[in-house]
Amino acid sequence: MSRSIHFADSRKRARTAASEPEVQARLREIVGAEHVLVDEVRVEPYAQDALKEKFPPEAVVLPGSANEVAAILRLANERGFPVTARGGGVGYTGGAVPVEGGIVVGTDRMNRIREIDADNLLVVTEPGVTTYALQQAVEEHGLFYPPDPASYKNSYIGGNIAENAGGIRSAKYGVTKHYVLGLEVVLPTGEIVVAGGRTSKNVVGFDLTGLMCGSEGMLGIITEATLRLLPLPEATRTVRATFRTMKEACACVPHFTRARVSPVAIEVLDSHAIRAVESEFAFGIGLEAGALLLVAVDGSPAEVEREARVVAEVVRAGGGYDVIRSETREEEERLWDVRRALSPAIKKYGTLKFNEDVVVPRSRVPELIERVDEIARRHATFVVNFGHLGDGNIHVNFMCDRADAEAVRRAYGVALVAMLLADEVAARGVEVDVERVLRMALLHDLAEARTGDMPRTMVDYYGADARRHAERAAFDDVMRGAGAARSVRYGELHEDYEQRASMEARLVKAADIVDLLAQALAFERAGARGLDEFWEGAEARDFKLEGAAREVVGEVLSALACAREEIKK
Amino acid sequence: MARVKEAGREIMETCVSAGGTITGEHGVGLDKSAYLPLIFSTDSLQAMLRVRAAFDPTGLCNPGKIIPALKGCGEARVVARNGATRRADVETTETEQPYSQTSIQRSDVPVLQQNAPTHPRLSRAFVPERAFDALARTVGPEHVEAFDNDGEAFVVSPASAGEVCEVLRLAEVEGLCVVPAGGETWLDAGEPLRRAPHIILRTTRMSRIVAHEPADLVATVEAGATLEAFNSEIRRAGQWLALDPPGDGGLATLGGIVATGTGGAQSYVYGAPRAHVLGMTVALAGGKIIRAGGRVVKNVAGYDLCKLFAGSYGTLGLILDLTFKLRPRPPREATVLALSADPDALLEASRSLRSAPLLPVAIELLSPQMCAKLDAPCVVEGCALLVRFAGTDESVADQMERAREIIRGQLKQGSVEIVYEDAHLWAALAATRLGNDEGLVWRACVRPGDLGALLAEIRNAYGGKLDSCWHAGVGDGRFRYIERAGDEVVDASRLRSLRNFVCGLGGSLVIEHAPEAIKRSSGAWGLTAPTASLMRRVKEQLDPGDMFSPGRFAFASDG
Repeated sequence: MSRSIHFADSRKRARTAASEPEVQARLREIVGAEHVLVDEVRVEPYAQDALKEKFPPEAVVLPGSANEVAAILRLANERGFPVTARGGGVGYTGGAVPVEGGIVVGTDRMNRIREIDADNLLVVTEPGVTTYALQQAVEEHGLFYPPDPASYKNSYIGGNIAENAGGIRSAKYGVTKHYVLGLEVVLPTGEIVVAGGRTSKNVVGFDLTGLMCGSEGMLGIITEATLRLLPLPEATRTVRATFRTMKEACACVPHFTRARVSPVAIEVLDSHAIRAVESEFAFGIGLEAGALLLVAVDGSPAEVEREARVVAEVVRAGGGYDVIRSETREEEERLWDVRRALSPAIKKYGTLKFNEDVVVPRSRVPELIERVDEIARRHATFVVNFGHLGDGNIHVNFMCDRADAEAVRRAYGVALVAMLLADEVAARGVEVDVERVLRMALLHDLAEARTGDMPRTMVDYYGADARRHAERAAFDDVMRGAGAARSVRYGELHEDYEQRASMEARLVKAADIVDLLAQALAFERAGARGLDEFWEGAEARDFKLEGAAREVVGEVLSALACAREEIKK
Repeated sequence: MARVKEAGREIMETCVSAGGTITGEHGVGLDKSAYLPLIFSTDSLQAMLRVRAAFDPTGLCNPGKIIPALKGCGEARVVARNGATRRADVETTETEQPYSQTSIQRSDVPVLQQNAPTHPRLSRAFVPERAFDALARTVGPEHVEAFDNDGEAFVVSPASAGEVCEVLRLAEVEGLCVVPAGGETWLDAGEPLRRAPHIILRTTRMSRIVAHEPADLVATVEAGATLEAFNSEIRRAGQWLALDPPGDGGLATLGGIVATGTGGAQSYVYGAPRAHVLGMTVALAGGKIIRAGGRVVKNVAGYDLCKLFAGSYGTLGLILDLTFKLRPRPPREATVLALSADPDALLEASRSLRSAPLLPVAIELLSPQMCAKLDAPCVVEGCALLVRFAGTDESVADQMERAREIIRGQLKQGSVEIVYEDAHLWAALAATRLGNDEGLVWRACVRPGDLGALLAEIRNAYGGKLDSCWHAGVGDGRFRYIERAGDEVVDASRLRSLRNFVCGLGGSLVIEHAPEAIKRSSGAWGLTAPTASLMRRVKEQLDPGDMFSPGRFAFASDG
């Protein structure tokens, strides 16, 4: 299975019994006509999650009750079509997309909080309530629902349970499964099961509630959850510190335990993450920093005071500097803004992000970070690391440019553009070795197809030579079979291109840029956004060409820019 | 892209070899499914498939996620979809049977154990001498003892996972019934077994601590280790496994505690046994070994099968070893002790406590008779409310002061004091025997706020008296009643009416120990359909020959 990116095209809709008009009519009978979506445009939003792999459902059904969900599943059994439950649709792993077609059952309408029982510290809720809405609602009663996945504003409680969502507070408070007391679940067979019940974790027999947590919608559809709450902590404090290395930052963690402090959250950001947030949002963190540590504590005011003091001492002793301790709620929020800014900020490193969500025993995190760095270098990839040190959960984010993903697809695009450019230049009476242009462009395409376009940030990081080195290595590899004499001749061509020594080489470079912009244009035409950086300064770019060659390239670039203005209107 | 995939795979492999996992909070879904075999063996993945088949026999819900296609073992859904397509395309007579039926019978997939025989080889005669010889060859004759006088059952104590598997293979071949055991506190739990056991498979010779990494607060230990021994060992590192299960006089094994899944007073804050389990190794029927969960605190790779075995009372398999999440020992523990003749006043006081911003680790209300069992000089008469705090000196002192003031403000009569050396109180509470041959012990679970109503109902049911032996976890709504069994008919009808009452509150009532006749007429668990039939399907998938503790859970259709 290769991961590839689709801009305009999505996978073809699968066809199962769910596409039959008679089945859709029965679905409408069950939930009401307005709650069954079949139109391609209307099912589109339900075709993907944050993994961005599209699998359009044949129909989207939005039930309003457990009985309706049960009726849908009975129908599915009768007619044999897949049913994929969906919450907020913000998961990272494609858990909520209907890979084998069938219907998506969205819980959007089941969004009431049924009961907040402050005396018994529990809440009974429908699955379509967002994590954020639930947290807000219970806080009004002085209560606290600790799980807080990063997507909490949009994620649904039902999805949190199905995925057993974590979050930054899990170091102290654990993950979603620790708060699920009971569930009402519609089994795939259509039976409605109440597991655990609406009391304190009340398990008789196998712990079906526990099993449902993290079963990713494969064992049934959650229609009601009873969740455990805690009293809202009286006070919280955050300590932020900068370190020279990730290793130093990670080494602090066991010292918290030893000093009998159990932080709510211990978050770390690596140097790339720091640079990203700094350049986008300017928090005033020194760019020499190798790691940033954020540690939150909560409890009674006296406890919090002590713990924050101890945390500050521990991080200082461990090599931390610029140690800031929040004194007020507002200060604390500001310290955490760095973490919140992270996701948008790292987009500057590439338009595509692939993340790993790995966990190691927390004592082995420093070792992991070192290995990740080594692996990333070896595979010529660029990574940004951040994560939850308290439980050894590190998010390794591979940053790529779209261009990288598309490099193979557009193989020989440059050669084609170069041919057109060179012919036109020759037609205007300039003496140009068209064959040399073509040979050079072909070799360039070949080498680039092998290495892919490295993201610019990676070039910044490893140095400009890294890219040249990788391309040269690919080139040599390609040429290995060509025999010594030819290798030398082709090598000379490659060298010319890299040095932009001849006019032919400079024309090929221009063709490279023209090809890139032509693709960007195609993407934008298909609705893609965020490609501005490719266009910046493109028109005024100096390829060190003269006379007619300069004119031809200039004309082509202006034509592309005009075409782009057209789309923008 | 290929480079990113390669690098990603290497990173996942690195983490797995370091004892970690491939996904901590994002899930497996579509994205990581192909990598699940990095963590789980084929047998373990098969076990997940079986669970899936128990819930979703035709594979309709969210197909194509988590569990990768296994070699030579497609998922049920493949078959199901074929059936569906055929039905949709051509209405042939072939698909006249109900859809689910046809799809299943067409399956030649080993995963589906649809027609699990309940008594596979009962026809074969059990020859004790032959069984003894075979068992003795496996574990050594000194580790095979007669279970009772009639010589029809043996207590077998294997020393390793390998020996366990050999015994289980033997049991499968001979059609023997196996009851896993540890400290034997709960040997008679649940319904009376449907078949007399042939082998009591005791784990007590498997008690090594396999690994303990203090910096990670994680340890792996064999199932036969006692909680007491394990805790006294890891205490050296300033850590503990925060469990205080009922009925533990020092013999309870970790495997038994997890398998019976019952929490004690401090489970209010620290959680029931299952909440401490990160992973486990389990021997299934026929001697297949699977791993469930992992060795790190955050792990969402695959179904959490630990949840099935925790609380399964030895009906699905035998737990071989367990990986636990540990906690640092709190430097200070102390208890606020309030005494009063009026249990309702104490309940009211505890309600105010719970709404205050305090974090007690246990709040337990004891009846006068229960107090007497604790053998504490300070507890003389009336009911007692014990509120325990744990943490640093300052935090405990601060919280206890506040708790004492709150209780004093609420309590018109009685006394409130602070017990600094409180360990014996809680140890004695946990060690309270859960009954003997004449004992009748039941537990209930209701919302904490409903405990008052439950007490009133009990008082009513026992002719206005509420002075026998009981204790209640005021924070989490646990309640246990310990008495001597009286007239069977009276006891049984009283239990049934109490169970009705408790179920009406959304709670449950379980009979822990009772004479067989009472269990037979009232049912130990009070399971109802469709939960019971789902449990039966799970049992049939994981233990198709019904070898492990048959009948301990009476499922709806068992009659």
